Amino acid sequence: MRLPLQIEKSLKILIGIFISVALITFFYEKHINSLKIENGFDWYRIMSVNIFLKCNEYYCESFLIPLLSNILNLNNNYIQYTNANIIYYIFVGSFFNIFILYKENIKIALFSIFIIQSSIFYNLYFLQPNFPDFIFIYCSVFSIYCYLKFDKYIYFLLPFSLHPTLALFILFFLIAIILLEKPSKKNHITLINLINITALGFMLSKIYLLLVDSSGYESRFKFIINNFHLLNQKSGLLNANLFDTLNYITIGCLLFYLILNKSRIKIIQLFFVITIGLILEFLSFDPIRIYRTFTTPLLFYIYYENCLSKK
Amino acid sequence: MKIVYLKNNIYFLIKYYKFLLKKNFVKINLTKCYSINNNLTLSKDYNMRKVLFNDLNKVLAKVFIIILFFLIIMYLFNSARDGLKKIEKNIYFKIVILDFISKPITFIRLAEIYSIKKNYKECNLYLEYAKNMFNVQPPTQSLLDKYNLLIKECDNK
Repeated sequence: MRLPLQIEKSLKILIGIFISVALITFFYEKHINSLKIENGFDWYRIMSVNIFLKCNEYYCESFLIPLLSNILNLNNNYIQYTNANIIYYIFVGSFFNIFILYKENIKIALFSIFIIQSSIFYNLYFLQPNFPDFIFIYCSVFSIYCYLKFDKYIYFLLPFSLHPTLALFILFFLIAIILLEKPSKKNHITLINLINITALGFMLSKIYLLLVDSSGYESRFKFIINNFHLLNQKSGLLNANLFDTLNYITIGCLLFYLILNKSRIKIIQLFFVITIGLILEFLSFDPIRIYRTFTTPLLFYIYYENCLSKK
Repeated sequence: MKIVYLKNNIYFLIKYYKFLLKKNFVKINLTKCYSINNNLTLSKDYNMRKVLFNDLNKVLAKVFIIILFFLIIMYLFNSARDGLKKIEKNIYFKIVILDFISKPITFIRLAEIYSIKKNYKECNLYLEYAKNMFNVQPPTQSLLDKYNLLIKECDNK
């Protein structure tokens, strides 16, 4: 039995609203304790106050959210800034959920929401909302979706303005996949487009850093190189439990799905994603965070490309 | 997805960007250009505009070249910034530079900068240098006024 079209669409939107409301309540409850601490994580607020003036730290690359809160004048207070960040996250998440439910088949949409949400949920227990990670994940998934479905590449600039080094690694992976495919006109066009957008997006952050008065420690690469001797003590992979970093629920479900579809190449890609994510986690100091933010958009990519190739 | 294809794809990319670098300095003229068929052979009478350049790519190709130049300029800026800082810290270099200067104007300017930064010790030091230089080159009235103003600012604090 099949429902009429209008009812089906309205049902989809209702599901989207329901999921996003559930997400909001969950997210807000976890962070209501962290909001009360005044001496907490205050890097990005100070950055938003001094935007286009001065910034001397490694996180100066990611400038979109501080710029937004500077324009809207939401950086007067620590509590105000964290509230603003939660509101951005709610807005982006609910927009994405409704968007994908409206555009796609309901099975695909729900599974892709599951992939994102199941890999994020563990982060919510300990992570501050002031990090740009959640919005980065949603924006990169959205840009990958637009690239696969509509051949539009401009949306890759969003993740580049949020977290340029991770976006670089994600796009390197996408380029590497197409480099290994059979040469044809279509593949060459996508290759050129992807390379151009990486150059443009990486320069977007570098242009911002040129305008700012900084002491030369403004990028994350330099931070890693300067603190390379501390990796044995402070590495994010070694300090946390391995089963906390691995999002094994999503990986297991995706593996099961890919085995049922008999797509051997996608399984190899999945293992490559996991290994690169673990290497990046080893190079960073924060546990769990980097691995999750790197892998979730690429897991979505593997899943959704498999759906498109079936048709 | 095979490793065999990688060589061909990289070969294509190198050829494409080499072509762009050659042509883009004057104007992007794509009617006569190298292009690649499915067998990856060269053919000159092939319209590349239809094949490779959709609307977005036309803009992006130009931007890519501009950005390449920008990269070079950026690293020059950064290196210049670091170099200037190192000179500022190095004492011997500073002495050599200051010995070359024989005008009181430069010292008064330096003193003004340090007074804005509220580093009054340095300000006083440079004003003394300027005072010594008045014998070599007698100052104008406006310069003397400025000198007196700066002494009032720096001595009180």
